Amino acid sequence: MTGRIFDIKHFAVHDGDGIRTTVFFKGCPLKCLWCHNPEGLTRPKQLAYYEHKCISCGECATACPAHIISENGHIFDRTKCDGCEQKEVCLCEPLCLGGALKHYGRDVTVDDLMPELLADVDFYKNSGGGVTLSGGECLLQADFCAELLKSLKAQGINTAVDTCGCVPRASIEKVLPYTDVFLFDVKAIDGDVHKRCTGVDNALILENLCFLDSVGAKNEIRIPVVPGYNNGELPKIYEFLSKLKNITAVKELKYHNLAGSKYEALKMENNLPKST
Amino acid sequence: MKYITEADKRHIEGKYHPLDGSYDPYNRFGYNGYDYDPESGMDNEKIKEGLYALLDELDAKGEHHHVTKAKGFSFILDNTRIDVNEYDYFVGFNCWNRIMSPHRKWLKEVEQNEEMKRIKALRDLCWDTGIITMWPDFDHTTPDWDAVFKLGFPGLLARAEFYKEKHRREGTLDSEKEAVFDGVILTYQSIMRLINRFYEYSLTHGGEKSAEISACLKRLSEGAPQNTYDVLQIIYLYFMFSESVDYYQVRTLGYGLDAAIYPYMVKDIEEGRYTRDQIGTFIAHFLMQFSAIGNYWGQPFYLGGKHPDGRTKINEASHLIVEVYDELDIYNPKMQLKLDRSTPMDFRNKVLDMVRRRNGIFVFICEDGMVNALMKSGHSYEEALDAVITGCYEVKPKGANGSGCTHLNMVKPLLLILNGGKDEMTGKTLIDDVKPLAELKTYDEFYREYIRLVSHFAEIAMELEDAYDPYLTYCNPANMMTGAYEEALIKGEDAYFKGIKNGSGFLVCSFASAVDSLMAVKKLVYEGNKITLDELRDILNANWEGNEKLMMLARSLPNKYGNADPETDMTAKGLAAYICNIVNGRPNKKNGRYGTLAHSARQFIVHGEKTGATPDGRMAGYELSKNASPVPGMDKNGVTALIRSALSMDPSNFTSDFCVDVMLHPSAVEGDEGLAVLNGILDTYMNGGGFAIHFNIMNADVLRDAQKNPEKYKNLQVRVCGWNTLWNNMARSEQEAYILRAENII
Repeated sequence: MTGRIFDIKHFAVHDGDGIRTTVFFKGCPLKCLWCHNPEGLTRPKQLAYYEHKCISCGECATACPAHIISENGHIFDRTKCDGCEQKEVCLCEPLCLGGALKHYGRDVTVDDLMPELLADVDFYKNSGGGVTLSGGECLLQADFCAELLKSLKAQGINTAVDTCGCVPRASIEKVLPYTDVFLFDVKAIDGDVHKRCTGVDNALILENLCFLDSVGAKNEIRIPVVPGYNNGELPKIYEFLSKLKNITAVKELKYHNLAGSKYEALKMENNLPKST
Repeated sequence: MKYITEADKRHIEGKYHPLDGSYDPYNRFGYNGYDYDPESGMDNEKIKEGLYALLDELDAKGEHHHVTKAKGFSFILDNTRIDVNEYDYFVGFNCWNRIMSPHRKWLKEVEQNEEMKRIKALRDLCWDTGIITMWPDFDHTTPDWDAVFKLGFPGLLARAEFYKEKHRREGTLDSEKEAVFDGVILTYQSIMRLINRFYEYSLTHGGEKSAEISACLKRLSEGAPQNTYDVLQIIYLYFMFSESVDYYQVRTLGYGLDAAIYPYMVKDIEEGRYTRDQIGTFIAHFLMQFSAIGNYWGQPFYLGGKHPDGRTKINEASHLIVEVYDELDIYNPKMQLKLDRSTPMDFRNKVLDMVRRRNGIFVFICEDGMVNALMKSGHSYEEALDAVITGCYEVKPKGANGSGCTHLNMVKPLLLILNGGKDEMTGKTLIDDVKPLAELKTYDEFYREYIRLVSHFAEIAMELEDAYDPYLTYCNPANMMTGAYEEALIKGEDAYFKGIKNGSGFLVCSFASAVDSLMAVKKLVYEGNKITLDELRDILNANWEGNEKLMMLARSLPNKYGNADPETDMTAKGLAAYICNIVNGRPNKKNGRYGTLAHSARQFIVHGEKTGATPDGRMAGYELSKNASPVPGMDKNGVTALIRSALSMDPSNFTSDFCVDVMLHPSAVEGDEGLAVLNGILDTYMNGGGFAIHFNIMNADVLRDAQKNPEKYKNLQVRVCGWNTLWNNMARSEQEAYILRAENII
C-alpha cells in the first residue's frame, strides 16, 4: 500500500506538542478560501515554478520538453507538464540549480517513511513531541494513515492527526486506535458560512467531531480566524465546543495573507482574502 | 529600574568610552571615558613618557623582566588618576592603554635570534596565506579565584613573601626565582598602595555611596573580602589590574559568579547587612562595568554546574544575577550556563525565556559533554567536573590555564593540493612536495593526500606555538597570576610557564567548509565525472567566473555537513577523529598539553578573506564555516538534522570545546510550547554528548539581511499562521510584510 504525500517537515513546532515531524498528504475535500497549502488541495502530482529563484540555467530543459530556455529566459509550458504523474521521481526538479522548481507529490510506503520519521525520535522524547499527519487531508488516505500510525505507535511515538473532519466516519475509526490527539479544524458552525468559505457543508465535520468526543478521543480544536469571513462564527463555535467533553485545547489561528507566492508558482487561482 | 538608576547606569557607561557611542569594539586597548580628577594623578601621556623612560632605564641596566615589568606596573598604579563618585559602587582608574605594555618590545627582541627569525618568517607566511594564524596568547587566563577570595590582596602579598622566604631558607632561591618573587611582590605591593589611595580618595568623594565604598576599600586594604560587595569589588579590581595593566586577560569572573557570591550573600542577608535588593544593586553596578567596557568578544562569566555529589550549583545568587542582567538590558558581559540534568527546570526556563527574548544571550555548556572531553584528555573526573570556562566556550580544569591561539584553516590544504602547494591567493609556496593531480586517480588517493597535508600543517601550527611558548613569560611576566597560584609560588616559577599547567588550544577552523569541499570533489570529480581536478583548479582560481552553473551545482549537492547525510557525516567524523588524534594530549612547552577546539573565533572571517573559491560552491573571500556549525545556508534539513550531524562527530573528540550555533525564528519559540521546543533541543543535544550550544533567535535586522543575502539563510523558517514556511519561498512583498511585523516586536 502506498500513500501520496507532498512534504515531510522536520522540526515542526506548531503541529501538536513539542518537536514533531509532520507528513503532509496530498488531496483535500475542502477548498478553503484562505488555504495556505494549495499544493495539498489536489491529489495529482504538481510542479511549482518559483520564478524569482530561476537562474535560467537550462538544466530542466535537458530533461523535459515542458521547459524551454529562450532569449527571454526560462519558459515553463504547463500544458506539457503532467507533474511526472506516472514516474517515481520528477525528471526536472532534481536538476534545477536555483531551486526554482519544486515538485509536489510522492508515493511512499510505510517502510519508506519510517526511517525518516524515527530519525528525530530523541527530539520527540525530550520535548514531548512526535509525528503529525497533516495535509491536504490525510484521512482521505485513511487506510495508509492507519498503517503508518500503527507502526509509529509500535515504536512508542506520540501521534497526532491534523484533520478538517470532512471524511467518512469509517476513515476516522480506522485511525482512532493509533492516534493520541486529533488536531481538529472548526471553521464555522453556520452551514452557509462554512460552504461559502470552504466549498462544502459542515454537517459531516461537526458530526465527526461529536463522534470523536463521544468516544473519548482527545481533540485540540483549531480555528482559523479570517476577518470578514468567519470571525462572526467564533461565539457559535465556542458555544458548540462547550458541549464537548474531551477538548484538550482551543487555538485560534490568526490569518495572514502570505501564501500568494505558492499559488503563483502553481498557477492556481488565488482567492486568498486580504490580510488585515 | 529596580536595581540601578538610569543616571548611575549612564555614568558607568561614560566611564569607559564616550557616551556618543563612538568607540570601536574591535579596538579596545584603553578604556577611557570621562576625564578624571587631574589632582588625583598624571594623565596618560605623562604616564606613557614616564613608563617608557623607566623601562628603558631598567632594560639598560639588564634588570630581570619580571622586576622591570613589576616596576612599570607600579609606576602606572602609583601615578594613574583615580575616581570614586556618587554614581558608581566601583572605583575607577584611568585605564592605561594595555597594548603599550612592554611585551611587544621584548617580543621583537626575541624574534631577532636566528631560530626565531625562521619561526617568525614561517608564522608570517602562514598568517599572510590564511592557513594558520597563531600569536602569543595572553588572553585566556584566570587567577585561582578561591585564593583571591580567601586571602584578598594583602593575603596574596603575604603568601608570596612567605614562599620567597621559604625558598631562601631552603636554599632554592636562585636569581631566576628571586626575580619571579620580586615581580609578584612589587606588583601586589603597588596594588595595595592603590587600594589605600582609593580609600583615602573615597573619604571625600562618592556622595551618598561614599561610606559604603570607603568601608569596602578599607576591608580590602586589610584582608580578604568579607561580604558580597567586597567580592564583586575584588573581582573587578583583579580583572582591571590584570587586563589593563598586567596584559593578561581574565576570562572568568569567579569560578561561577553565582558560586562566588552565594556564601557571602546568604551571610549578608542572614546578618541583616544587605537585603537581596541591595545585593542586586551591587550586581547591577558590577555587570555594567563590563557592559560599558564593551570589547567585541564580550567578557564571559558562567553560572551553574553541579557538585560532585550530583546536586545542582544553581542557587539564589544565580537567579538574582539573571534577574539583574535582564533588567539592565545588556548583552555584554556574556553569560554561560553550565547545564546539567540537575539544573532546576524553573531556572532553565528563566534562562531560555531570556534567550528567546534577547536573541541568544546565553551559551550553554553541557556538563556531561565537557566532562567527557576533559576526561578524554587525561583529567580526573573531579577535575573535569569542576572545570572552568575561560573564553567563549573553552574549558580547562581549575588550577590550570588554557590558551588558544593556533588556528588551522582546514579547507586550505585541499586548495593546496589543487595548486601544487602554492597558496591560491598570494602565489606563495606553502609546501613543495604535493602529489601531481594526475596521480590522484581516485577519491581515496585525493583524500589521503589531503589528510597528509592536514597533518603537515597541524605539525607546523604546533611548531609555531612550541617555538613561542618558552618566551612568553620573558616577554610578558605573569606577575599577578603567579601571585594568585600557590603551586607557582611553591615552585618559584612563573605561573604562565612552569608554575602551573598551561594547556594550548588548537582551533580547528573552517571544518564544515573542508568537509563540504571534500564531498564536492568526490561528487563532482570522482563520482559525477563533471570535471577533472585540473579543470576544478582553474575554475576555482577564476572564482567560478564563466562556470556559475557548476557553482550552483556544487552548492546544491545534498552532501553538506549539517543535514544528517550519512556519507557526509561519516567524512566529518573521520576527519574530526583524525585531527583530534594528532593534536590531543601532545605535550606543549609550558607545562601542559594541547587540546582541540571546534571553535573558529573570528577566523572564519579572517581565513575566509584569504581563501580562494572552494569546491563547495563558495566564492573567494567569503566567510568560511564557523565552530562545529555548517557552512552558512547549507543546513537545509532543519535544526534536528544539524544536531544529529554535530553529535555524529562525537563532540568529546574536541577536548577543549565544541560549539554548535542554532538559528531559530522567534515564532518557533513562543509561549510554553516554545520553551518545550528549546528544552527539547537542549536535552537532545546534552543527552547525545553535546558540549556547547547557543541559539540565534532571528530579529527584523536579520530578516532584512536574509532578504539581501538569501543564500545565507536557506534554512530560515517563518511562522505564517498555523504553519511555517521557508523564508526564501516567500515573494519579496510577503517578506516585507513579515519584516514589518517583526519590527513591531518589542
